Amino acid sequence: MRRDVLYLGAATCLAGWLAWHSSVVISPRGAAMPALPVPEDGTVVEGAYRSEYFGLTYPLPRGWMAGASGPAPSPSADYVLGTFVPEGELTANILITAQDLFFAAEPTKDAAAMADDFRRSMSEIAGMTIDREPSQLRIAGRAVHRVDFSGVGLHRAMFVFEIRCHLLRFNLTARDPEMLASLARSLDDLSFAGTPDAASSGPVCLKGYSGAETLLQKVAPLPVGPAFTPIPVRIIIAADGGVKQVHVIRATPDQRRSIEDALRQWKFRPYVVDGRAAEVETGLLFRFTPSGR
Amino acid sequence: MLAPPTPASGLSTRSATATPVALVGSARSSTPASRGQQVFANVGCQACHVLSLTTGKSVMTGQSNVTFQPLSDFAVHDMGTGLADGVSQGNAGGSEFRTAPLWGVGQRTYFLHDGRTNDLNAAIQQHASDGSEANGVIQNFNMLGAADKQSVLNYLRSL
Repeated sequence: MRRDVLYLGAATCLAGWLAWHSSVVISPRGAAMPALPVPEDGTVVEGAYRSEYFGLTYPLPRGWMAGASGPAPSPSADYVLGTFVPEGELTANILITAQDLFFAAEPTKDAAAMADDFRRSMSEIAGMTIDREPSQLRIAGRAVHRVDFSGVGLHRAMFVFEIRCHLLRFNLTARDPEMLASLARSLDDLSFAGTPDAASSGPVCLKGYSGAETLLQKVAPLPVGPAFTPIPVRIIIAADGGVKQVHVIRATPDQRRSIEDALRQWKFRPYVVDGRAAEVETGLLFRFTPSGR
Repeated sequence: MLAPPTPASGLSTRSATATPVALVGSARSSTPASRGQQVFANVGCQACHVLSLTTGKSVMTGQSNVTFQPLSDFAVHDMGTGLADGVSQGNAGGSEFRTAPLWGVGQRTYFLHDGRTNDLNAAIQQHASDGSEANGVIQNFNMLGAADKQSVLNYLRSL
């Protein structure tokens, strides 16, 4: 009995100290969440690249296959979703990437701005020719921005879509312009889930929906792992204001657990559209610092 | 030759701007580019092996606004399973390395972080493996004709 009282007293003191030290609520670990799709989940199934997160299906050109896997998402939440190459001789390749607009190292406004930036940076490389100025077209009912360029015998095109506050890019490279044109035509077979031109086939995505006006309860994650490293995190807030999904994009396993445990306990003011509460997806950037600094 | 051919905003890098002198990257050279240098830039090597950097303002004499050609962005990149040595240093994991400056590479005998090869072409190919940021660039290099591949090797040997 006496030992129990001592333990309870010590726990109370510790919780009080932590609450004072971090100025936030310390509460028990939240319940487990169902696994929802994330950008890096995409796979090749029956000859097509499918991404449930982006609601995307891309039937690969006949005789093509997945190449080497890409790196983990970058600290600025840039994803290599897939690389694809033809069987046999390497005459072309397809690289599918996505940049999370919430965390881009150099803030980019939208798909049109990315195509313009890319055109500018390519034109600064000696020997590179811009073959097609950035322009908007439509594929599978969605707006897409395209820019073509070539140099040293490689012909390339970049297509940029904007989905769920990500810039989804198809980078096509080929040895000859006919092959490039063929690859570009293969994008006509793309299909997207959801309403054409909807910003998202999933929740509404909003930058900064985690400020003081919307955040009702906050539990600080315990600082673990390397200090000062930016840790990008996407969350989906349910219609009731609870956190439905936590996607820690790049962190150490300890940091991932700490942030997931804390964020599951956060509460937000529900996002209301046309008088009804709706799910919303937003981004948070954590950066642990050593205590006392 | 480390990163896929994505815009500068898309690179997985840790900035080198914490150094006392700020650096500004550029793909441009002050001299006309050789064919090898053009190919090097066009396939995407220069996304990480940045040709030219310019220092920012410095209190040290003669170090402000100096342009130099390190052929590196001095950032950390994931090089995949092929080059991984499992050694973590600071925040860099076992497959992450700071871009090696290529200045003087033509005078070196062995290449890569562990000196595993004395063959420049093999060193280029070793940049590609599962998880590497350079896979797209190496694919581009491998699509080139023999003359253009040779021009890149000649360019590197001239450094």
